[in-house]
This record gives sequence, C-alpha cells and structure tokens, in this order.
Amino acid sequence: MLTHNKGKITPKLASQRYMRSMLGFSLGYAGALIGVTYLLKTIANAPLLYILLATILPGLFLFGMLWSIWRFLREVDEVARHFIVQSMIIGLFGILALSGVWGLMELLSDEIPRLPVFWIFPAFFAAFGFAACFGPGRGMGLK
Amino acid sequence: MENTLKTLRAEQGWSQAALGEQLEISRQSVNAIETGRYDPSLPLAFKIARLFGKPIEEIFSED
Repeated sequence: MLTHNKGKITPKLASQRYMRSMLGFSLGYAGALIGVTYLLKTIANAPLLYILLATILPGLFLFGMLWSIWRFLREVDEVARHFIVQSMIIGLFGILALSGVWGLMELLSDEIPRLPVFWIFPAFFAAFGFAACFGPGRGMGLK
Repeated sequence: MENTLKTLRAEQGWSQAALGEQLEISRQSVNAIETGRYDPSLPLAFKIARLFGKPIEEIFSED
C-alpha cells in the first residue's frame, strides 16, 4: 500500500530525488540502448540467447525508472500523489486505447504500418508527461 | 467539500508554503486543498484541525 513517508522527507526533497534518479536511469537507458543496438549490429546473425542477454541491460534501466516513480509516490504528500496517479491513469488509458485501435487496424489491414511494441514504454511516458503538464494535476508534485 | 483553510491561514498570517511546511505537504498541495481541487484524507484533515485548534467540521463542510 502507498503510504506517506511521515515527515522523514520533505515534498521538495522527494521531487529532487525523483528528478535525479529518473534523469540517471533515463540517461543509462539511452546509453545502454545505443550500446546494445550497436553491439548486436556488429555481430552477424547473433543467437537468440545473446540478444536476450544483451537486452536485459536496458531493461534494468527501465525497471529503475519504474522504481523511481514508485519511490516518489511513496515519498510525496497525498495531494501530489493523487494528481500524479491521476495523470498516470490518463496516460495509461490513452495509450491502451491508442494501441488497441492501432492493433486492430494492423490485424484488419495489410496497409497499416506495423508498430514495434518497443514504443509502448516511451509512448506511455510521453502520455503521462503530457497529462501531468496539461491535465487536472498540472503543476503538482515536481516543484 | 468546501473549506475555510484560506481564511484561517490568512488570519495567522501564514503563506501557503509556511502552512505546507507545518503540514508536511507542498505549497502546491495547500493550494489544491484551498481551491477545492482536492479533499484531504481524514488524517490530513485532523492534522489541519489540530494545527488551527478547531474541530474538523468548522473547517470543512459539505457543498
């Protein structure tokens, strides 16, 4: 259960910790992604196990980003938590609706370009960010 | 819910940030409660009531 970290950390410090860890994990993810992509392109016909192992590294950074959000939700005050979760739900629903419609179009038509599942994660963060900036919780939690 | 938080805060001469510090919430969170965008939980409502030395129903009321 999400509970406020009673008085142990101020909302401002929670925001700073969140921004720092998200920035770190995002940069790590971008670096790992570039590195792994480059590495696998240099190896012709890399075995599946090799590809699986190589993609675990960026996956760990993705997990780190999700953990940062989880920690932030536990540390921030209840009001900010309410609006952040609301923004996440708006972002999630937007992406679910969009991917559902697009997926159906892919099934029913060969003319629709196939979108890699890879884009779900960044698309969710973009939608979450958009909802946080312009949705009901704009201005909450990150100052 | 409606509340008299803004009036009570003004009577004390506190800024939103100063009130937020005492309640361990951010200035933006105080603003969200004052403007009715968010109704606080019971623990937070009790905390606010204790801080101003008033019963909860004197601070918060139904629309």
